[in-house]
Amino acid sequence: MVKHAQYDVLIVGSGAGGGTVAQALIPLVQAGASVLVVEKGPRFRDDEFTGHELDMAPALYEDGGGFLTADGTMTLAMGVAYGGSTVVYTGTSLTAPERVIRHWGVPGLDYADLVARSEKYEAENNVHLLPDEEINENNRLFVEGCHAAGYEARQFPVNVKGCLGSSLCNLGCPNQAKQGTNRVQLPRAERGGVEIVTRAEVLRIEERAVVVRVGEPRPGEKGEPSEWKPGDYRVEAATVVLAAGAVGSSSLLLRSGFGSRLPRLGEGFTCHPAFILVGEHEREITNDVGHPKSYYLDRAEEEGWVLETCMYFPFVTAKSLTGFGPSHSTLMRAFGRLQMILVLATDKVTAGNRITVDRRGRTAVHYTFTPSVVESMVDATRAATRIFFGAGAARVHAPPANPPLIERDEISRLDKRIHARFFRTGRVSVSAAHLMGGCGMGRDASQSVTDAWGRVHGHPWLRVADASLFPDSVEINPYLTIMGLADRVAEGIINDHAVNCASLGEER
Amino acid sequence: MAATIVPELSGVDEEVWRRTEALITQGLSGRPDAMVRQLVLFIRVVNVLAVVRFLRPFTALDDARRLRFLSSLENAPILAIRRGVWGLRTLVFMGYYGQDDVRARLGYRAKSLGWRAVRQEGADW
Repeated sequence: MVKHAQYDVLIVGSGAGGGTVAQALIPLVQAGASVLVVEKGPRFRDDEFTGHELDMAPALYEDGGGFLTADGTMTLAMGVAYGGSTVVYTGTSLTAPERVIRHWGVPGLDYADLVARSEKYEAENNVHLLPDEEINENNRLFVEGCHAAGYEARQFPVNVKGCLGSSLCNLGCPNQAKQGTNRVQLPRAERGGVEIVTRAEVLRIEERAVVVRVGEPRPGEKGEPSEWKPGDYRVEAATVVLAAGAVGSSSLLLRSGFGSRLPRLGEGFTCHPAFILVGEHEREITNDVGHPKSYYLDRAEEEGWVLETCMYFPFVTAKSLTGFGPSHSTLMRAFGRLQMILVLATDKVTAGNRITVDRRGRTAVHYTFTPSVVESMVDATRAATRIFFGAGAARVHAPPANPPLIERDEISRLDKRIHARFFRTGRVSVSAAHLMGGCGMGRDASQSVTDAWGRVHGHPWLRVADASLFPDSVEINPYLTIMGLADRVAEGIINDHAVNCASLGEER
Repeated sequence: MAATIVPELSGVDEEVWRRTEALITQGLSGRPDAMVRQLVLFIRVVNVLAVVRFLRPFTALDDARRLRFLSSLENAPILAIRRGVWGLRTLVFMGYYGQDDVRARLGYRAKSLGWRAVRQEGADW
């Protein structure tokens, strides 16, 4: 039997978007309104963050981190937990470049306004540069290598408080140091009277209502039971806010039949396709202690790519390297001597890359690697290889090379050794964590899904507040931009609240 | 096939195999049935392709030929075959590198206490 509930505002998702909106609506709650957040994932106890990849990845990521694009050539990382993907990011905090926001060309979206809002959350989340003594060799060597190769590395501001340098950010911080929405905005929202229900998956959206299925933990599964009893609920709300991520929000709207009225729904999906490069040094380096992602090299504007320091775990590293057999094993046995760099292409929106649902309601993300993206990744791989050698590495494992292991004395032949013809989808392990678009902002329904305040065209009671709003790539780590946009969405909700409540009252 | 992907598996005892299989089974448990069926089918296809090429099944090939053959499939012109190799190797890597003692042997030392653990354990790092 379907149970019924009523709220003034219902937020779907609790990540950077949903968590921000939830906190920003506290004044509305204090004025007597009711606000509910429904989150598909569970709420984890602090002691459940073990840092073990096979223990944490299935608990924290959609499909255990193995969600594949429709043709199976790229994995997409999406956090599913109280706090969404902010539980599993590294906390790198950058504001969107002005040229990107201008290129978006969204009428009513002012760059200065977005930056001011992003900066508010920078301060709230304790964003700062880590001191020198907390930077490990994996990161220092990147800076040295960039310098030797003629590049200038920049330090990532990160949103940590009391970071012990576990290096386990992507598996959920075991020390609760990372200031994601699970640590900052959501607890404040709850203290301010916002209700949060976990293990609550939205099945579909109806006119000013959603149908939610609340599940229960399987035996031995991590996470607390839901705050609500298991079962199906129909929750009416004057305002519904979708913040389930680019894939989640788009597919939910498509599954609910909004596609017929919104021709751009699901279109404009993009991401930052990424793979890992490994440089092997002759000596051990500190790589598995310290914040893993402290520096980056931004060539997005000039060359369409960004390099970031990174450090992954044995299984993720093994599957990210190309090939197998003795040479792969030899590299894995050198784990303590490995330096890692993540290559990201800052892909622009391309026709055909989109989110769809099939007749059974299953989500599919269609993504094709365009020649320009492949060239960007190849170009970035050559740059990263020079950086590794500049830092003193003896050899480099480069996915778009065959064989992938490049010795130091081959440095003059990098243009031939690393080449687009070796970038074979299905052979090279590509993944993406920055998923964007699908409900892009814009002027009207013929060109976009929402306006500059996240209001879905033709449905003033329905808003979107996550990275699906991006009309094109943000070309940096996106969470501060999501929070800035979500803050605008919350302001719009507060401004429109009386009108929406009156509309719901008339319908009831 | 697993020992071709991770050569260390050819010399391990029954307990390590059991743990490897258990982690692979656990990894597959949450996946759609269709994916598991595709994997089983792919393993059969590999055997058939080996017969076509060498007149004997994959399991009857020596180590060097197994490696060359699987590597050629990893670079096959057909995406489905490359994906199949990718899926197979991912599972084997999960089963092997997911084991605590294997991670320790690699020298992977990440601990929740991070720098504090380094300072406490000193020379061990």
